[in-house]
Amino acid sequence: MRNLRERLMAVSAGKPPTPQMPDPGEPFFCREHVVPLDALYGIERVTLEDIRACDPAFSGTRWALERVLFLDTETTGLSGGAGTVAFEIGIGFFDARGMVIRQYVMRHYGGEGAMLEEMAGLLRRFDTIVSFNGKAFDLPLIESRMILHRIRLPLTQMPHLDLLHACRRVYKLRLKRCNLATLEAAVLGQRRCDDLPGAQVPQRYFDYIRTGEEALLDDVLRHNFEDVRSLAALTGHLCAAFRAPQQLAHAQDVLGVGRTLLRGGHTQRARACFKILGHSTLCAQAHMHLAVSYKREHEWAEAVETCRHMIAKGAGGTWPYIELAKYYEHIAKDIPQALHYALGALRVSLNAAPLHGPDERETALLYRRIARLRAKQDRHRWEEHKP
Amino acid sequence: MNLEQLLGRLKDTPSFMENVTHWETIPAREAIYADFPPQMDTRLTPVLQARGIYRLYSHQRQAFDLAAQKQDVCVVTPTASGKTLCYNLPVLNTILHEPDARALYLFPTKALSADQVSELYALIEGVGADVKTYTYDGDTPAAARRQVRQAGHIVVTNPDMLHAGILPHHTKWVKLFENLRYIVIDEIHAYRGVFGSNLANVIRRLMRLCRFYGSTPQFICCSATIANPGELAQTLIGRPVSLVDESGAASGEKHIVFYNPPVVNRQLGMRKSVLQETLRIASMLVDNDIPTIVFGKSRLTVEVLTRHLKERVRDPLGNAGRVRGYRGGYLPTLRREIERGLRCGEIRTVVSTNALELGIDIGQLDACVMCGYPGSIASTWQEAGRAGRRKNTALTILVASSSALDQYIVTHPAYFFGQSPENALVHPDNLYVLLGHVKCAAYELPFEAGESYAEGVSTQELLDYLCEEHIVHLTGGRYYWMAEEFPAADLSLRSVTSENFVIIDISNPAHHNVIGEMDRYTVPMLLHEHAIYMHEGRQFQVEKLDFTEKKAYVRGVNVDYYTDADLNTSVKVLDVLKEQPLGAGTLAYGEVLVTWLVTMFKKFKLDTQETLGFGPVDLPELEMPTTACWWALDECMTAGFSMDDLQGGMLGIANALRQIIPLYLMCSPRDICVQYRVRDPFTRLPTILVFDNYAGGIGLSERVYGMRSLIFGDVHALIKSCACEAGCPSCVGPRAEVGERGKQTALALTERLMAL
Repeated sequence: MRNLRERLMAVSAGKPPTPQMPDPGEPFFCREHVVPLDALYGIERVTLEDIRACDPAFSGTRWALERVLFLDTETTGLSGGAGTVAFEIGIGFFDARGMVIRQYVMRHYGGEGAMLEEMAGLLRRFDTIVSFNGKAFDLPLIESRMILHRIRLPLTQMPHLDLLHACRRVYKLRLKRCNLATLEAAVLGQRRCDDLPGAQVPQRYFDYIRTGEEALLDDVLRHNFEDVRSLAALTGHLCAAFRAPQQLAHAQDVLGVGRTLLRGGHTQRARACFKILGHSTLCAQAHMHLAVSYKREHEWAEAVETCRHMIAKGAGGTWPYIELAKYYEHIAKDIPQALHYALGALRVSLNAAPLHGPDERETALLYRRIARLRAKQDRHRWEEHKP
Repeated sequence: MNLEQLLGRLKDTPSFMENVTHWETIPAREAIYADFPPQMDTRLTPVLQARGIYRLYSHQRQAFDLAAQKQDVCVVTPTASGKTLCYNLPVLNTILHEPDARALYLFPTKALSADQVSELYALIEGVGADVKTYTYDGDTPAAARRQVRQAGHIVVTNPDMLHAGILPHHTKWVKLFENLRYIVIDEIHAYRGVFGSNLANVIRRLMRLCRFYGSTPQFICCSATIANPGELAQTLIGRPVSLVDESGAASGEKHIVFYNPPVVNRQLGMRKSVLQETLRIASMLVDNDIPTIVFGKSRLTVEVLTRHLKERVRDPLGNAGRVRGYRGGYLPTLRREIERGLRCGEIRTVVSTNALELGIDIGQLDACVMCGYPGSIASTWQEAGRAGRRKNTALTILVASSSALDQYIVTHPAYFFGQSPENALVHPDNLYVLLGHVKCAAYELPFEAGESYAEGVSTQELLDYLCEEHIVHLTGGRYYWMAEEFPAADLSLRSVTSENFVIIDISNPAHHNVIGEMDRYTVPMLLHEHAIYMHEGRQFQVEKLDFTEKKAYVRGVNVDYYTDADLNTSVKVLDVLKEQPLGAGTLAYGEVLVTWLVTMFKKFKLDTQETLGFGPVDLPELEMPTTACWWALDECMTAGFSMDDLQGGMLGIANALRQIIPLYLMCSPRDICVQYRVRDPFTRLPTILVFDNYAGGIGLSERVYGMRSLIFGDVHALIKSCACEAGCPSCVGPRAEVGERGKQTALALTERLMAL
């Protein structure tokens, strides 16, 4: 404690009691770049229809490219509390020249208010936001910072396409990680070189604050520039994928698109995706989704046909048997048929995994199903014999 | 027999009464009522009436009126006096009139908040208004949190959550902070020592944010009976409070009995076991089916008592659910089940640690048995308050252990009943505590140059220090947080250091088993390599102590010896902050550096205590800066004693002080350490020193300094009244330790000290 107190005293002894600070100068600076449209995977062709297909929860009612803001921030940390600052806000929007990317950077902490004011003015010109993980991170953070500067702008209420979630739905099956750099490489085929690791960003900024050397931020700004540009490129690419899934090179991606379409209620388009996969390695999953889509619409003949097809091909394990057992029991009320498929499921289940042994929970459920069906069958027979 | 009959019977039983050192009867008291306040919302009246409340108790009305006058209130009332209405009424009344108003409730533990919320829900449901009450703590599901932040009228939480979950994310709580009208802090007596010092700082940060959002909330605090509730509340919230300390609630006749187990060996001062005697008394109550709570001081005591009492009530089918144990370490659902069982009367006897001392609602019990003195007057009254909530007679029996503190209490009933309960001490300006919270505050909101964090705190100095450390950055007259870290995560409110070692049993190579844990200051003593460690009656030898990983590996053994380590505690005075003459010697208060070092251990044969050998211990020193108070005795005071006698006498006084100081400071005996030295390297005189057992100090030794040599009066009385011949564990310590004339010297020394 002596040490701490001595250090405290030593620190305050070296300084005048109320520090005279030099005028901190301009609050922020802004760098601007223009990216030509042809490098952006057809972003200009994107329609509201496309956006709704790739994000079933999208709340916007229009999509006009000149009113869409692409946004990504660089921050002093990831904790997201009141002490985390978005020192850089990178935005992209479209005008006659193409995609304009502007990067606003606080020259010092005192400049945040002015920068956010500028940002608030700018944001009012747009009605839709596109980001990568902005729903959980960037936008709540900017909103928090604005609250601290007494600017009220309900940013988190704006229509928002969060590409993290949209991309996860489509590419999760193929890619283990879904961060921007991975997506750029695997989806757009662009590899970043000398990219600054995100973990080093805060320290770069702290160093800049202490030294005032703008060059320290070059790597940070380059990293952010690529992020913002990728937002537009990915949006273009993703929407194209939804428009023409048959042109996708990876079966997993087609399945991802199909599942998203199914979830969004685009049943016919989803089925088209699943049918594309009919002969691929993913045919079991594709048929399963296909069958579910028929079942949901009560198109029983097609559903039954799909399940039978799966059984014929030996795809999907017990799943098509159980589905058929359910169908015959509850919909067709054909108990012997139901029992036939339930027993089939049990046979598959018991033989499925010679190494690990059968899934005990599943077999237990099957035994219960079979017992119930047998009881029903007996009752039916009994009733038939009644005079 | 009912309780009245049983009391009559006990009074006529000589074998019981001869061990009773005191029988206090507190007469029944009538309730004092007041009408509902005229400004109370009319929607509340029928709800209260439906619960049988047609008038308020006088203290409830007083609290309501003071709150209505926008004063900060601290209500001090005994258990079961309807104190929750003291805050629920003003808060609900305000929210009913102004639907935008918000309130924040703080309870020291999660269990308590769950309990209080259910009561509040019932009240709100009765009113039928849309007042949303939510608990916000570690158990709140992530999906519900948004709703709590946006819409909660009353947010119920605990200090830890406020500190790390709410304040650092205040921008998500705009609605709460902008409209905050009431801050309710219940059970403020729980906030003492480090916890209290931290809470005071959390409140400072909370108020700083309220200023930013333009709200000016008022406080309603509730406390059990302690000596300084007003002072404590004032320190915690940082401004004066109006005290409501006249309870209007009715109470039945209360009997408080001090029971001292009979002496079995006079020379050694040994008494019959406190556990056996507690068990005997509790069994009598259980046999008569009197609803009883038994308090044990440790988890082990609770387990042993529960097991025996369960045997007593076991029916032919083996059910013994009438008797239940209750302690920390039981799962929350089990605890809720026991609380419910107690409220509805299915459980007739509960054996508990002080976990049930705090205001968890367990309904009505008639008798309370304490296995040993709970450690402070305030806790004793709290525990006794568990019996006799209704208007009928209540019995509390305190069974004394042979420790000096217990013996002092039961043989000095006038002290217990005459003394106001202890002071609760907090020291929010402890430099370590302060620095941690200034960091959090800077994270939450930049500091303006010249802004004062708290009255009398040199904020500028701390901020400049943090600048130097590159944690905050000064620009344009403001100090901004400039680090990646999240400072609240590094600061625990409950203790200054919380690093425990785990003890791992490796007897079975296939299955390593964690059998316990130990705080880092005790580890060098008991878990050094080759030590024999006792756990639940079994012997283990320590094979390896991994100091950096904080793990001790032990293996079960069966040997006929035990080990004892030599602990060297040295205290170096760093700075004298206050000083006054004490005869020709001095009494001083200042900062010290305490160093602990274990250098060797000895092996003793179990039955004969022979030394079998010794071995080295190679462990790093432990250091702790803290505050201390010391008495340096001059030559006139020590004249006439041989060096050996002086040594024994001072050791005796130190042993007695260790027992007496917690009486005054309402602290646990572990919170302080007493040292003595026949010749101190700093004062160059025989010196007795008391230091706070927490890094940075928590204000305990400063209090001791304030008592000058008055405390020796009680040390003298304790030693003098002890019946032993030349020392026993109940006064100066065993004769073998203090020497033949140790007790005598201690008495003579304290007499001289008292005369100053």
